[in-house]
Parts: sequence; C-alpha cells; structure tokens
Amino acid sequence: MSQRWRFLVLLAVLLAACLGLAQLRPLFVALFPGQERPVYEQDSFAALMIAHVVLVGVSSVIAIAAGLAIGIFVTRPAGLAYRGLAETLAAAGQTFPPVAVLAIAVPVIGFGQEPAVIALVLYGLLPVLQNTIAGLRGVSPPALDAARGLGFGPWRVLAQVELPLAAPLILAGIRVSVIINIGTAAIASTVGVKTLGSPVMLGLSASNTAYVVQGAVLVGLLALTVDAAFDLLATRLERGARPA
Amino acid sequence: MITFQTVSKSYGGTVVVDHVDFHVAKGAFCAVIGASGSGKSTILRMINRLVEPDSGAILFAGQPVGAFAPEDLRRRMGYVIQSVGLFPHWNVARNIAAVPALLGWDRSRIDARVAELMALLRLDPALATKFPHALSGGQAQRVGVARALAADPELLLMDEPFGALDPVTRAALQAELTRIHRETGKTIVFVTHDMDEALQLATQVVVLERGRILQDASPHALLATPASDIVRDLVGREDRGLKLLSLLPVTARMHPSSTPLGPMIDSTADCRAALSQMVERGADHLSVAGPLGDCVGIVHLADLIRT
Repeated sequence: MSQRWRFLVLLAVLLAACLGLAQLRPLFVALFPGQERPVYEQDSFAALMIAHVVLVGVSSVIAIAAGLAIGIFVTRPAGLAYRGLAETLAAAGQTFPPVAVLAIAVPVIGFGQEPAVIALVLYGLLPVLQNTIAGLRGVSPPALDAARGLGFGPWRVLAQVELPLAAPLILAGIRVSVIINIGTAAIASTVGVKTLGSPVMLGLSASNTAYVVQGAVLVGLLALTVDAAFDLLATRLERGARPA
Repeated sequence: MITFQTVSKSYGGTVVVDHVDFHVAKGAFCAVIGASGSGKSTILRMINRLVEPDSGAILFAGQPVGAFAPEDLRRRMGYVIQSVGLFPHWNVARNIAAVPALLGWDRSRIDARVAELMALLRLDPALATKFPHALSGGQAQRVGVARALAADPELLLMDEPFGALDPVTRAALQAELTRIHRETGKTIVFVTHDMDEALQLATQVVVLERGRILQDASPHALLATPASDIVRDLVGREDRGLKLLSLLPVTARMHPSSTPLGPMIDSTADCRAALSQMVERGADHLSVAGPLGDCVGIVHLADLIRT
C-alpha cells in the first residue's frame, strides 16, 4: 500500500509541477533577483514533458523489444555462438557515457529526432539485454530438464518456464534502461530535440540558473515517478510468482 | 515396451554407450545400474530423445522412437530426475498438472487427477497450494513422481530419483514406488548406482560398465549366477546369500500350519529377516503370523538354507 501511495503522490506532484511551475513566477523572481526572465517560456512545461515522455517511450519500447529478442536468441541453441559477443557488448557498452553515444550519433546521422532515438535505443538496449541473458541463464537447469523431459516444446519451455522465472531480473533491467533513458533524453536536447533538457541547456548556455532548476526538477520528478511505478510492478510480479 | 538394438553413443571421441542391446517387457521394473560414467543416464535420456544415439535403434511400443515427435513421445513417458526439477513459480497442484495441461485436459478432469495422484503419493492435500521451496526433499520428490504419472504414461523413466534423499526418506519412497508399480502395472526404467536399491525394487537388472552391458538378468539370477567377477563384486561377494534371502518372502518357504511353534514373525517379512530373527533368538524355527496375528505357518532354518 505504501508503495502505491508513493507512486500516486509522486504522480500528483509531477502533474502539478508540469501545469503549475509557470505560476510560481513570484518565487523564481525572489530566488533569482538578477534574471529578467526567471521562467522558461519558449514552450510550456506540459508540452516539454509530453515530448520527453514520447521520446523516452518510443526509444524504450524499441530498446526493450530488441534487448529481449537478442537476449532470447543468444540463449537458444541456434544463437549460442553469439552469446559471448552479446554479453561482452552489453557489459562494455554500458561503460560508455550516454553523452558520448549522442556525440557519436550526430556526425553519423545528423541533428534531430532520429539520432536521439537511435542513441537512446542503443544505450537503453544494453541493460535489458544483459539482464535478459543473465535471467535466462539463471533458470534452474533441473527445471529445464524436467520441462523438456515431460514434453514441453521449445516455445512452451520459453514462455511457461524460462521467461516467468527470468522475469524479475528482466524487469530490473528494463527499469534501469528506462530510468537511464529519462536522464539521457534530457541531454538529447543538445542535438536539437525538444525535451525537458531544453530549459537546462538553454539555462547553462545563457547563465540562467532558474531555467536549469526548472528543467532539472521536472526530469528528476519524472524519473522518481517512473521508478516508483516499476517498484509497484516488481512487487506485483513477485507476489504472482514464487514467494522466495 | 522398450527395445535397444546395438545402440551406441559417444561424446567427443569418448564412447559412453557401446553396442547396447536389451529389452524391457511391458509391466517390468527395469533397473539400469552402473557407476557414474557408465552411460546409464545417457541410455535413459535416449529413450525419451533428450539424447539422440549415434547408431542403432531404440523401439518404443514397436516403433523407432525417432518416428515420434519428441514432445508427443515424452508426454507418453513420465520423467523423474534426481534434482526433481519442480517449476519453482508454480504451486504443487499446478506442477502435478503440467502434462495434463499440455495435453489440453479440461479443468475438472485435471483437478480430479491431481487429487487422485496426491492421494496415491500420500501427499497431504493441504500441500496443493504450497510452492516447491516450502517442501522437504521427500515431499518434493513425491510431487515429482506424481507429476510424472499425471497423464497416465505407459512408461516411467526415473534417473536416480532417490539419490539425493536421506536413508529414511529414501526407504519410504522406495516402498511407495514398489506399491505404485504393483498397483498401476506401469513399465518402469530406473537408473541407479545403488545395487541394493536395484535388487530390492526391480524385476530386471541391467548392469553397465563403461557403456557395455555386463549382465541383464532378474535380481535372483544376478545374485545366484553372476556373469563375471565384476558383477559378483557389485552384488556383494560375502553377503550374496543374504541378499538372495532378502528377495524371498518368508511365506515362500513356510509350511502351512495353524499351531504356533517358536517366536512369531510377520508374514510380510522376507527370509533374510527370518534368518536374522532365528540367530537373534537362538531358535531354529519361527511361526509366521498372518495379517490378523494368527499363525499361518512354520518356517525352519533348513527351509531357508535349501536352494
């Protein structure tokens, strides 16, 4: 119940911040007396939030689907030869800072929505892939032997035994992936995409700390809210499966 | 039920099963015994096609196992392994119902079958909603056997099913298995490295060493006429006579009589227990007590010794 409340309260605060941050002008005037324009007004915060969520949503869905598919493939007999490669790439790839991924994407693909999505997908894919492989490899070998020996076909073994048993770990990977993408998407405004990072970037370049605070508060709130949602989901998943 | 015709299998140049020929009749309880690395598990896993042989043929119900789709074949054979392999995310009832669910049985038929099997394996009905982590080793393997029997398979394959259990639990499950074999008439292929277990449970013992069959005989024949010194060692050099006695129920050697004479022994005992009691009591004859406690016969020391 407390998990649920945490999520609902965060969601309420997030929505209130989106719609009400601009109304706090007197506060920002008081906090940053030297600024002529202490509230970011190029776009509404709600519009930035929607753009940010859409960017993260689209790239996360692709990253999760790809990560799961590759992870499942390299743990099948046909793809076993590629497992080492996938594991190395997933582990090494995450040592790359997200900014570097964007920096590489721009000269290759150019500015705009596409390099941002591609960079976010590539970066978000790694934790999902790593945890999918770890989760599937962690499934108890006797349970697999029994499932095959009792007459479960390969797809049934995957759907009814492997994936449910690997689910908590896979969900943890998805959670890391989405949370990282929420942060990385903010940096994507450097390649010309409108996100919650836009006030932050403009604030940094124009020495307007108020903008930085406004963008950062919203990104932080979004990350906390989504994380609370995953918390809820993980508990529900574990309650549905084994209690130990 | 099962026929091996010159079956061989090697892994990376090492021959693990070497020109193996044997037949398991319908209703038989066949123990395949050997040390680790003797190829016994490989033989078992070739029956349900978890392992494919390099050469030779394996027939099930008169047809090569290769003629069946692996999943169809396996659903007609129960499978029990030492590590049990219950599905940790399913409760006991759902574990037992695994194969019936695969076969698309309807809900009420599955529920009835699960209840029936829990009774057969003497599992407390309250365990039905428990998850595997909450079970003891013995309970888990009872569930494992129930799961293997769920769809009423023609054949039960068991790979050292009691190897990880403590001696008391193992003895209890061995007794259950003997009872289940008697009550259901299932054909059983049972892999073990424990000769006493094989002699006690099986009607047919296949002795393996390094992938070859040393002897394929009834427990009695194995003890009475071991085919080689190795088999003689395996069945026990010094207590072979005692083991022979343990295969015989005391009722097979008694003379019917209703007049008690000497200490009483239960009619379900074997001749080895009778001999032991004679030694212990210093008596050369015992009265055999029937199920109601009345005397049903007399057994003399000479009756036990005669071959």
